[in-house]
Amino acid sequence: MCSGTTLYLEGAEFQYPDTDKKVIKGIDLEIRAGEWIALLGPNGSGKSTLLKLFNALLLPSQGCCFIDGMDTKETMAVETIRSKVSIVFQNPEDQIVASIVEEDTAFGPENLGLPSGEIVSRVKEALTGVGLWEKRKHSVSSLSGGQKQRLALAGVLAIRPGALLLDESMSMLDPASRKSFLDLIKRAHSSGCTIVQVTHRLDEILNSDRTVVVSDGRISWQGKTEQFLSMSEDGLKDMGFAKPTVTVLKEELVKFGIIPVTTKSDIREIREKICLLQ
Amino acid sequence: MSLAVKDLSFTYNRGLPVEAKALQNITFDAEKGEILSIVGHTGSGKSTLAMHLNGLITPQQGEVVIDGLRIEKDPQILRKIRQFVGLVFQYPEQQIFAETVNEEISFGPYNWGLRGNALQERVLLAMDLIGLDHSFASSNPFMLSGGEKRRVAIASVLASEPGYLVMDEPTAGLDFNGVCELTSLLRSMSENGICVIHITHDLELALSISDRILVISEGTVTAYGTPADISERLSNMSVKGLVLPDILSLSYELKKTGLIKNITSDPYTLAEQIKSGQIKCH
Repeated sequence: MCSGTTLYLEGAEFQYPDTDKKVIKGIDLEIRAGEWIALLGPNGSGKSTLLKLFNALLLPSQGCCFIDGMDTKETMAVETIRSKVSIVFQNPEDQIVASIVEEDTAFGPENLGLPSGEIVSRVKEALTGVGLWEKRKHSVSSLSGGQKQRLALAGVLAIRPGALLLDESMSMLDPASRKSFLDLIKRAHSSGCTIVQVTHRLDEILNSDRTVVVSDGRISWQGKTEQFLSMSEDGLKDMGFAKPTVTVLKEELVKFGIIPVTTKSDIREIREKICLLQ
Repeated sequence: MSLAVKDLSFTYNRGLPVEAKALQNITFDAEKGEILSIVGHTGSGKSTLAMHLNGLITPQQGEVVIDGLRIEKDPQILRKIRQFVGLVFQYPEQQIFAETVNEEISFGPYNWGLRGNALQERVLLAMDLIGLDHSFASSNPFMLSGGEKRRVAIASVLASEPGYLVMDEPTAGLDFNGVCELTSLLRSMSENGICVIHITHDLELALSISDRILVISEGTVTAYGTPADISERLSNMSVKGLVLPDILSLSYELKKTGLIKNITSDPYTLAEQIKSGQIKCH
């Protein structure tokens, strides 16, 4: 069980040093404890920069960022902030530190100064969760891209953060591993963890509470995920998104009066409803 | 002119306690002007196979023959092979090292001996192919966005004018428009006579853009054929890590029950078919 962390941005702007372009151009955003946010936007819109503001890897050039009420600019608070907010980066190579699978997963808990028994049990739980327990003694270099992505998640889960920030963390996974990865995120969420998920695939955001779209450094849309997905196919396309085909099918079948409007955008549920009619 | 892989096997850490079989008896071929997708679960051996195709790994068993040239550990052969075969890694933006986009893209052809105007023309041509405005030439590639960096990296491989282009997960991390641009780029390259070998775990994408698909699982070939063959095969068998796209899989299921007549991956067509099937039922 973990208690969720609150993430808060006020008037946040960010500009990388030695550049003349602001990447974040004034964002106000409150993410409540235990909320699941889908953070969307085209490549280069500022999504990854936002995530880095949340765990104090970057500091806002204007405005401020608070994590559970702590200002990320307070040097003394950074350590606590980082133990509360963990990022799984897009490229797992960016965060794998050890050469053996289990040593990599133990790195986070060791740094928290946990007793060794606790470290061992967390490593086991995390590696089992991501399906890499059998590979615990293997060298990290023998893992595939997708397995490394799962290892990166294990390393973060072992820290049991209050907020889990996912930066396209499933981009290298096959459909089956993506499903089990999503199940792990769901489990972390149901234990109270705040989730901020950056992705380009709308079929991955069906579980999120709220969708925030960032374009060119500003929030261009926000609202309930349900509401976002119910936009027309063309409307979504104009914003640079492809409507999930399952959602399209559901809406068509609802329109024809074949399945009830309450049906979820879930292929299993749609199949059951159709089979019932036959 | 073609690329042929025959009975290829590869084991990492061979002979050590941690040895791991990555590829076993892989056989396939690919021709100029074709898009061949290699699809498999994470850890199936896709990237290991990719590295065999331009001689980054030389075969332990079996062979890889490109335009009649058999890959072996001979510097002269490897040099030729690398001129024939361009390899774009996963996250190609990590290949970037130069201070300007122009320098980055000209690195390959410069090393193959191109100089002066011919070199400049080649760079601009590669930028056109990938849809990068010429004004980017003087930019610092490290300051570009992820999608732009990826295009620079692909352009730098295209600048060597390879006849074969191996791309390892080129769409990973790209937004919807980026994926659309990249797939139309793959198509236009194959129309220009380049053989595109597209490595992916995205079966849906592979089914929509490929001429042929090679499915590998646990390092062995489990299916090989046209997209229609492959979706038919996968509707009858389960392959680790791969699932048919939802709409396609539902349409196979409903066809078996007799509710619909035609297999489709389009949700609108499927809904229409269900509607007319339903009317007949009642």
